[in-house]
Amino acid sequence: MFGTIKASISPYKCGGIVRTSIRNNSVKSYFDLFPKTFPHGGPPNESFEIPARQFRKEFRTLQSENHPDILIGSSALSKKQGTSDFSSLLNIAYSTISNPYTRINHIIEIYHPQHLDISNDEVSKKLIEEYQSESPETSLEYKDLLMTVLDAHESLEFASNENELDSLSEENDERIEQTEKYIDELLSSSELDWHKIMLEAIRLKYWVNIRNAIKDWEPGKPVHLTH
Amino acid sequence: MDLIRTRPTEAMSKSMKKLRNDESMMFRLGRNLRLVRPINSPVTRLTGINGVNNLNGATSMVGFTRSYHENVLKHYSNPQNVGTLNKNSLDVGTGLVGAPACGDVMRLQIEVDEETGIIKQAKFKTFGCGSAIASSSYLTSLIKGLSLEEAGKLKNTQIAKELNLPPVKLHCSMLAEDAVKSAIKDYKSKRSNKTNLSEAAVATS
Repeated sequence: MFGTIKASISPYKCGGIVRTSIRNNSVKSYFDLFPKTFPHGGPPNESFEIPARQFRKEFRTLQSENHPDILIGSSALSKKQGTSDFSSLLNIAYSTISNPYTRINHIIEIYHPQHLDISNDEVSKKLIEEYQSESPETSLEYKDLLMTVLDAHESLEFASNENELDSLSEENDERIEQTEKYIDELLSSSELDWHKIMLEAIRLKYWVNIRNAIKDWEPGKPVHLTH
Repeated sequence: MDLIRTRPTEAMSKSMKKLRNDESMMFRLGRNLRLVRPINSPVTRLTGINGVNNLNGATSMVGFTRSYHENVLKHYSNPQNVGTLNKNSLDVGTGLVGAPACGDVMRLQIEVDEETGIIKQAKFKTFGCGSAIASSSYLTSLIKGLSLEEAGKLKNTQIAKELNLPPVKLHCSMLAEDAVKSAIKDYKSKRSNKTNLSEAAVATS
Protein backbone atom coordinates (compact mmCIF):
# COMPACT_ATOMS: atom_id res chain seq x y z
CA MET A 1 0.00 0.00 0.00
CA PHE A 2 2.85 2.34 0.84
CA GLY A 3 5.10 1.22 -1.96
CA THR A 4 5.05 4.51 -3.78
CA ILE A 5 5.80 6.52 -0.67
CA LYS A 6 8.66 4.29 0.37
CA ALA A 7 10.33 4.70 -2.93
CA SER A 8 10.18 8.45 -3.12
CA ILE A 9 10.58 9.97 0.30
CA SER A 10 14.24 9.27 0.84
CA PRO A 11 15.93 12.68 0.84
CA TYR A 12 14.24 14.63 3.56
CA LYS A 13 15.70 16.42 6.51
CA CYS A 14 13.15 18.88 7.79
CA GLY A 15 9.41 19.43 7.77
CA GLY A 16 9.43 21.49 4.61
CA ILE A 17 10.96 18.84 2.47
CA VAL A 18 8.77 16.16 3.94
CA ARG A 19 5.78 18.19 2.94
CA THR A 20 6.87 18.59 -0.63
CA SER A 21 7.61 14.92 -0.89
CA ILE A 22 4.21 14.17 0.53
CA ARG A 23 2.56 16.49 -1.93
CA ASN A 24 4.25 14.80 -4.81
CA ASN A 25 2.49 11.62 -3.90
CA SER A 26 -1.06 10.59 -3.40
CA VAL A 27 -0.50 11.26 0.30
CA LYS A 28 -1.72 14.75 1.03
CA SER A 29 -1.13 14.98 4.74
CA TYR A 30 0.29 13.03 7.66
CA PHE A 31 -3.23 11.79 8.31
CA ASP A 32 -3.17 9.82 5.08
CA LEU A 33 -0.41 7.65 6.49
CA PHE A 34 -2.93 6.20 8.95
CA PRO A 35 -5.87 5.15 6.77
CA LYS A 36 -7.49 2.96 9.43
CA THR A 37 -7.71 5.81 11.93
CA PHE A 38 -8.43 8.48 9.34
CA PRO A 39 -10.32 6.79 6.51
CA HIS A 40 -11.32 10.20 5.12
CA GLY A 41 -7.92 11.84 5.36
CA GLY A 42 -8.33 13.33 8.83
CA PRO A 43 -9.69 16.76 9.75
CA PRO A 44 -11.41 18.82 8.41
CA ASN A 45 -13.19 15.82 6.85
CA GLU A 46 -13.22 14.07 10.20
CA SER A 47 -13.34 15.11 13.84
CA PHE A 48 -10.43 17.15 15.10
CA GLU A 49 -10.51 15.13 18.30
CA ILE A 50 -8.66 12.00 17.36
CA PRO A 51 -9.33 8.47 18.64
CA ALA A 52 -6.04 8.23 20.55
CA ARG A 53 -6.14 4.51 21.28
CA GLN A 54 -6.94 3.43 17.75
CA PHE A 55 -4.35 5.89 16.42
CA ARG A 56 -1.62 4.51 18.65
CA LYS A 57 -2.52 0.96 17.69
CA GLU A 58 -2.29 1.69 14.00
CA PHE A 59 0.98 3.54 14.47
CA ARG A 60 2.48 0.58 16.31
CA THR A 61 1.31 -1.87 13.70
CA LEU A 62 2.79 0.21 10.92
CA GLN A 63 6.03 0.65 12.81
CA SER A 64 6.28 -3.06 13.45
CA GLU A 65 5.99 -3.63 9.72
CA ASN A 66 8.39 -0.89 8.78
CA HIS A 67 10.87 -0.38 11.56
CA PRO A 68 14.42 -0.82 10.25
CA ASP A 69 15.54 -2.76 13.32
CA ILE A 70 12.97 -5.43 12.63
CA LEU A 71 13.88 -5.68 8.99
CA ILE A 72 17.63 -6.02 9.56
CA GLY A 73 18.75 -9.52 8.66
CA SER A 74 15.57 -10.30 6.84
CA SER A 75 15.24 -10.46 3.12
CA ALA A 76 14.10 -6.87 3.21
CA LEU A 77 17.61 -5.76 4.14
CA SER A 78 18.26 -4.44 0.70
CA LYS A 79 15.34 -2.05 1.10
CA LYS A 80 16.60 -0.91 4.49
CA GLN A 81 17.29 2.65 3.40
CA GLY A 82 13.76 3.24 2.28
CA THR A 83 12.15 1.62 5.29
CA SER A 84 14.22 3.61 7.74
CA ASP A 85 13.04 6.78 6.05
CA PHE A 86 9.48 5.61 6.11
CA SER A 87 9.78 4.61 9.72
CA SER A 88 11.02 8.04 10.74
CA LEU A 89 8.35 9.68 8.62
CA LEU A 90 5.81 7.68 10.60
CA ASN A 91 7.37 8.94 13.82
CA ILE A 92 7.17 12.55 12.68
CA ALA A 93 3.60 12.08 11.50
CA TYR A 94 2.59 10.38 14.74
CA SER A 95 4.02 13.06 17.01
CA THR A 96 2.65 15.86 14.83
CA ILE A 97 -0.86 14.47 14.99
CA SER A 98 -0.71 13.50 18.67
CA ASN A 99 -0.03 17.04 19.88
CA PRO A 100 -3.18 19.12 19.33
CA TYR A 101 -1.18 22.26 18.53
CA THR A 102 1.05 20.68 15.89
CA ARG A 103 -2.03 18.86 14.60
CA ILE A 104 -3.95 22.06 13.89
CA ASN A 105 -0.80 23.69 12.60
CA HIS A 106 -0.40 20.87 10.09
CA ILE A 107 -4.01 21.23 9.00
CA ILE A 108 -3.59 24.98 8.53
CA GLU A 109 -0.41 24.53 6.53
CA ILE A 110 -2.10 22.09 4.20
CA TYR A 111 -5.57 23.51 3.75
CA HIS A 112 -5.17 27.25 4.30
CA PRO A 113 -5.33 29.02 0.92
CA GLN A 114 -1.90 30.57 1.59
CA HIS A 115 -0.54 27.56 3.47
CA LEU A 116 0.33 29.76 6.44
CA ASP A 117 2.62 28.48 9.13
CA ILE A 118 1.51 29.88 12.48
CA SER A 119 4.57 28.51 14.26
CA ASN A 120 6.39 31.23 12.35
CA ASP A 121 6.80 34.21 14.64
CA GLU A 122 5.97 36.89 12.08
CA VAL A 123 2.87 35.14 10.83
CA SER A 124 1.35 34.65 14.26
CA LYS A 125 2.41 38.07 15.50
CA LYS A 126 0.69 39.76 12.58
CA LEU A 127 -2.41 37.71 13.23
CA ILE A 128 -2.53 38.74 16.88
CA GLU A 129 -1.84 42.39 16.07
CA GLU A 130 -4.74 42.43 13.64
CA TYR A 131 -6.95 40.69 16.16
CA GLN A 132 -6.07 43.14 18.93
CA SER A 133 -6.75 46.17 16.77
CA GLU A 134 -10.17 44.85 15.71
CA SER A 135 -11.94 46.27 18.75
CA PRO A 136 -11.34 47.14 22.41
CA GLU A 137 -13.06 43.85 23.28
CA THR A 138 -10.72 41.67 21.26
CA SER A 139 -7.74 43.54 22.62
CA LEU A 140 -8.99 42.92 26.13
CA GLU A 141 -9.68 39.29 25.34
CA TYR A 142 -6.10 38.65 24.29
CA LYS A 143 -4.87 40.41 27.44
CA ASP A 144 -7.14 38.14 29.46
CA LEU A 145 -5.67 35.13 27.74
CA LEU A 146 -2.12 36.24 28.57
CA MET A 147 -3.17 36.90 32.15
CA THR A 148 -4.63 33.40 32.48
CA VAL A 149 -1.47 31.91 31.00
CA LEU A 150 0.78 33.86 33.34
CA ASP A 151 -1.39 32.96 36.33
CA ALA A 152 -1.25 29.29 35.44
CA HIS A 153 2.54 29.34 35.14
CA GLU A 154 2.80 31.23 38.42
CA SER A 155 0.57 28.79 40.29
CA LEU A 156 2.78 26.03 38.97
CA GLU A 157 5.83 27.88 40.15
CA PHE A 158 4.38 28.20 43.64
CA ALA A 159 3.23 24.58 43.80
CA SER A 160 5.11 22.81 46.55
CA ASN A 161 4.14 19.20 45.98
CA GLU A 162 2.80 16.84 43.34
CA ASN A 163 -0.74 16.86 44.72
CA GLU A 164 -1.10 20.51 43.89
CA LEU A 165 -0.23 19.71 40.32
CA ASP A 166 -3.31 17.54 39.89
CA SER A 167 -5.76 20.40 40.09
CA LEU A 168 -3.60 22.59 37.84
CA SER A 169 -3.29 19.76 35.38
CA GLU A 170 -7.01 19.07 35.46
CA GLU A 171 -7.80 22.71 34.90
CA ASN A 172 -5.42 22.93 31.98
CA ASP A 173 -6.59 19.68 30.39
CA GLU A 174 -10.05 21.18 30.52
CA ARG A 175 -8.80 24.23 28.61
CA ILE A 176 -7.15 22.07 25.99
CA GLU A 177 -10.27 19.97 25.61
CA GLN A 178 -12.51 23.01 25.24
CA THR A 179 -10.25 24.59 22.65
CA GLU A 180 -10.06 21.30 20.76
CA LYS A 181 -13.85 21.09 20.79
CA TYR A 182 -14.15 24.63 19.50
CA ILE A 183 -11.61 23.99 16.76
CA ASP A 184 -13.56 20.87 15.86
CA GLU A 185 -16.69 23.00 15.52
CA LEU A 186 -14.90 25.55 13.39
CA LEU A 187 -13.46 22.83 11.16
CA SER A 188 -16.82 21.16 10.60
CA SER A 189 -18.42 24.32 9.29
CA SER A 190 -19.01 24.31 5.54
CA GLU A 191 -17.05 27.49 5.04
CA LEU A 192 -13.84 27.48 7.04
CA ASP A 193 -13.14 30.61 9.05
CA TRP A 194 -9.35 30.42 8.96
CA HIS A 195 -8.94 33.56 10.99
CA LYS A 196 -10.81 32.09 13.93
CA ILE A 197 -9.15 28.71 13.51
CA MET A 198 -5.70 30.24 13.66
CA LEU A 199 -6.54 32.29 16.74
CA GLU A 200 -7.74 29.16 18.51
CA ALA A 201 -4.56 27.41 17.40
CA ILE A 202 -2.50 30.11 19.09
CA ARG A 203 -4.60 29.75 22.21
CA LEU A 204 -3.85 26.04 22.08
CA LYS A 205 -0.13 26.78 21.89
CA TYR A 206 -0.28 28.61 25.20
CA TRP A 207 -2.22 25.75 26.81
CA VAL A 208 0.12 23.11 25.47
CA ASN A 209 3.10 25.03 26.88
CA ILE A 210 1.45 25.00 30.29
CA ARG A 211 0.88 21.27 29.92
CA ASN A 212 4.56 20.74 29.14
CA ALA A 213 5.57 22.87 32.10
CA ILE A 214 3.35 20.76 34.36
CA LYS A 215 4.88 17.59 32.95
CA ASP A 216 8.39 18.85 33.64
CA TRP A 217 7.59 20.09 37.10
CA GLU A 218 9.92 19.04 39.88
CA PRO A 219 9.92 20.30 43.46
CA GLY A 220 11.92 23.49 43.72
CA LYS A 221 12.86 23.57 40.09
CA PRO A 222 12.26 26.89 38.35
CA VAL A 223 9.61 26.76 35.66
CA HIS A 224 11.26 27.23 32.32
CA LEU A 225 9.90 26.36 28.97
CA THR A 226 12.11 24.89 26.31
CA HIS A 227 11.39 25.01 22.68
CA MET B 1 45.14 5.59 27.95
CA ASP B 2 44.37 2.19 29.37
CA LEU B 3 42.50 3.59 32.32
CA ILE B 4 39.64 4.53 30.08
CA ARG B 5 38.93 0.95 29.14
CA THR B 6 38.88 -0.31 32.69
CA ARG B 7 35.78 -0.25 34.80
CA PRO B 8 34.97 3.18 36.13
CA THR B 9 36.16 3.73 39.67
CA GLU B 10 33.66 4.23 42.42
CA ALA B 11 34.24 7.95 42.42
CA MET B 12 33.70 8.04 38.68
CA SER B 13 30.46 6.10 38.88
CA LYS B 14 29.27 8.50 41.51
CA SER B 15 29.98 11.51 39.43
CA MET B 16 28.33 9.84 36.45
CA LYS B 17 25.28 9.13 38.52
CA LYS B 18 25.21 12.65 39.79
CA LEU B 19 25.35 14.03 36.30
CA ARG B 20 22.75 11.68 34.94
CA ASN B 21 20.45 12.66 37.75
CA ASP B 22 21.09 16.28 37.12
CA GLU B 23 18.81 16.39 34.16
CA SER B 24 17.46 19.64 35.44
CA MET B 25 20.74 21.13 34.30
CA MET B 26 20.13 20.04 30.75
CA PHE B 27 16.60 21.24 31.04
CA ARG B 28 17.58 24.67 32.23
CA LEU B 29 20.07 25.07 29.46
CA GLY B 30 17.45 24.53 26.81
CA ARG B 31 17.00 22.16 23.98
CA ASN B 32 20.11 23.14 22.11
CA LEU B 33 22.29 21.68 24.78
CA ARG B 34 22.70 18.09 25.57
CA LEU B 35 24.90 15.93 27.65
CA VAL B 36 27.41 14.10 25.56
CA ARG B 37 29.19 11.04 26.83
CA PRO B 38 32.20 10.31 24.67
CA ILE B 39 32.20 6.62 23.78
CA ASN B 40 35.63 5.93 25.18
CA SER B 41 35.25 7.93 28.32
CA PRO B 42 33.59 6.75 31.49
CA VAL B 43 32.92 10.27 32.61
CA THR B 44 29.80 12.02 31.44
CA ARG B 45 30.53 15.47 30.26
CA LEU B 46 29.29 18.15 28.00
CA THR B 47 31.45 18.93 25.07
CA GLY B 48 31.32 21.84 22.76
CA ILE B 49 32.64 25.08 21.46
CA ASN B 50 32.58 27.65 24.18
CA GLY B 51 32.92 25.49 27.25
CA VAL B 52 31.69 26.99 30.47
CA ASN B 53 32.84 25.26 33.61
CA ASN B 54 31.04 24.62 36.85
CA LEU B 55 27.50 25.20 35.72
CA ASN B 56 25.17 24.69 38.65
CA GLY B 57 28.06 23.45 40.68
CA ALA B 58 28.70 20.37 38.55
CA THR B 59 32.30 19.49 39.08
CA SER B 60 33.17 17.88 35.78
CA MET B 61 34.04 19.67 32.63
CA VAL B 62 31.00 21.07 30.95
CA GLY B 63 30.47 22.83 27.68
CA PHE B 64 28.03 22.35 24.85
CA THR B 65 27.51 21.58 21.25
CA ARG B 66 25.32 24.46 20.16
CA SER B 67 24.98 26.93 22.89
CA TYR B 68 23.74 30.16 24.28
CA HIS B 69 26.25 32.95 24.48
CA GLU B 70 27.81 33.40 27.90
CA ASN B 71 26.01 36.72 28.34
CA VAL B 72 22.72 34.88 27.96
CA LEU B 73 23.83 32.29 30.49
CA LYS B 74 24.90 34.99 32.90
CA HIS B 75 21.42 36.50 32.94
CA TYR B 76 19.76 33.13 32.64
CA SER B 77 21.43 31.34 35.53
CA ASN B 78 21.28 34.44 37.67
CA PRO B 79 18.42 36.59 36.41
CA GLN B 80 18.24 40.12 37.75
CA ASN B 81 15.07 41.83 38.96
CA VAL B 82 12.73 38.86 38.97
CA GLY B 83 9.59 39.66 40.87
CA THR B 84 6.43 41.69 41.14
CA LEU B 85 5.52 45.25 41.95
CA ASN B 86 2.14 46.33 43.23
CA LYS B 87 0.17 46.57 40.03
CA ASN B 88 -2.51 48.67 41.72
CA SER B 89 -0.08 51.41 42.68
CA LEU B 90 -0.39 54.54 40.57
CA ASP B 91 3.39 54.69 40.25
CA VAL B 92 3.58 51.25 38.68
CA GLY B 93 3.07 50.43 35.02
CA THR B 94 2.57 46.82 34.00
CA GLY B 95 3.27 45.38 30.57
CA LEU B 96 2.02 41.91 29.74
CA VAL B 97 3.03 40.45 26.40
CA GLY B 98 3.07 37.05 24.75
CA ALA B 99 4.80 35.41 21.83
CA PRO B 100 2.03 33.67 19.92
CA ALA B 101 4.36 31.42 17.93
CA CYS B 102 6.20 29.90 20.86
CA GLY B 103 3.77 30.47 23.72
CA ASP B 104 6.12 32.52 25.91
CA VAL B 105 4.66 35.09 28.28
CA MET B 106 6.42 38.06 29.83
CA ARG B 107 5.29 40.52 32.45
CA LEU B 108 7.38 43.63 32.98
CA GLN B 109 6.65 46.25 35.62
CA ILE B 110 8.17 49.66 36.13
CA GLU B 111 7.93 51.95 39.10
CA VAL B 112 8.24 55.58 38.13
CA ASP B 113 9.17 58.57 40.23
CA GLU B 114 6.22 60.91 39.90
CA GLU B 115 8.31 64.09 40.09
CA THR B 116 11.19 63.26 37.80
CA GLY B 117 9.62 60.69 35.51
CA ILE B 118 12.61 58.40 36.10
CA ILE B 119 12.17 54.64 36.34
CA LYS B 120 13.10 53.80 39.91
CA GLN B 121 12.49 50.10 39.86
CA ALA B 122 11.83 47.40 37.28
CA LYS B 123 10.74 43.81 37.80
CA PHE B 124 9.88 41.01 35.44
CA LYS B 125 8.46 37.54 35.33
CA THR B 126 9.02 35.55 32.19
CA PHE B 127 7.88 32.06 31.33
CA GLY B 128 9.79 31.16 28.25
CA CYS B 129 13.09 30.01 26.87
CA GLY B 130 16.52 31.04 28.06
CA SER B 131 16.84 33.89 25.61
CA ALA B 132 13.50 35.35 26.65
CA ILE B 133 14.46 35.23 30.32
CA ALA B 134 17.89 36.70 29.64
CA SER B 135 16.38 39.42 27.44
CA SER B 136 13.99 40.54 30.16
CA SER B 137 16.65 40.33 32.84
CA TYR B 138 19.04 42.47 30.84
CA LEU B 139 16.31 44.90 29.87
CA THR B 140 15.22 45.52 33.47
CA SER B 141 18.79 46.26 34.51
CA LEU B 142 19.05 48.60 31.55
CA ILE B 143 15.94 50.71 32.13
CA LYS B 144 16.45 51.46 35.80
CA GLY B 145 17.46 55.10 36.08
CA LEU B 146 16.19 56.00 32.62
CA SER B 147 13.39 58.43 31.94
CA LEU B 148 10.21 57.05 30.41
CA GLU B 149 11.13 58.67 27.15
CA GLU B 150 14.58 57.12 27.06
CA ALA B 151 13.23 53.72 28.02
CA GLY B 152 10.59 53.97 25.30
CA LYS B 153 13.29 54.45 22.71
CA LEU B 154 15.15 51.27 23.57
CA LYS B 155 15.42 48.92 20.64
CA ASN B 156 15.48 45.16 20.69
CA THR B 157 18.69 45.23 18.65
CA GLN B 158 20.48 46.62 21.67
CA ILE B 159 19.39 43.64 23.74
CA ALA B 160 20.15 41.20 20.95
CA LYS B 161 23.62 42.66 20.56
CA GLU B 162 24.48 42.48 24.23
CA LEU B 163 23.26 38.89 24.49
CA ASN B 164 24.57 37.86 21.07
CA LEU B 165 21.22 36.35 20.16
CA PRO B 166 21.13 34.27 16.99
CA PRO B 167 18.53 35.21 14.33
CA VAL B 168 16.05 32.54 15.47
CA LYS B 169 16.02 34.08 18.93
CA LEU B 170 15.66 37.71 17.90
CA HIS B 171 11.96 37.56 18.62
CA CYS B 172 12.77 37.08 22.32
CA SER B 173 14.45 40.48 22.46
CA MET B 174 11.51 41.89 20.51
CA LEU B 175 9.18 40.54 23.17
CA ALA B 176 11.18 42.42 25.81
CA GLU B 177 10.97 45.62 23.79
CA ASP B 178 7.20 45.18 23.42
CA ALA B 179 6.94 44.55 27.17
CA VAL B 180 8.61 47.79 28.18
CA LYS B 181 6.55 49.77 25.66
CA SER B 182 3.39 48.22 27.00
CA ALA B 183 4.44 48.95 30.61
CA ILE B 184 5.06 52.61 29.77
CA LYS B 185 1.72 52.80 28.02
CA ASP B 186 -0.02 51.31 31.03
CA TYR B 187 1.70 53.77 33.38
CA LYS B 188 0.75 56.74 31.22
CA SER B 189 -2.87 55.68 30.87
CA LYS B 190 -3.11 55.20 34.64
CA ARG B 191 -1.71 58.68 35.14
CA SER B 192 -4.02 60.34 32.64
CA ASN B 193 -6.98 58.56 34.20
CA LYS B 194 -5.92 59.94 37.54
CA THR B 195 -5.69 63.46 36.15
CA ASN B 196 -9.09 63.10 34.55
CA LEU B 197 -10.54 61.82 37.78
CA SER B 198 -9.15 64.65 39.85
CA GLU B 199 -10.30 67.17 37.28
CA ALA B 200 -13.71 65.59 37.38
CA ALA B 201 -13.62 65.75 41.16
CA VAL B 202 -12.74 69.44 41.02
CA ALA B 203 -15.50 70.07 38.50
CA THR B 204 -18.19 68.37 40.57
CA SER B 205 -17.17 69.91 43.89
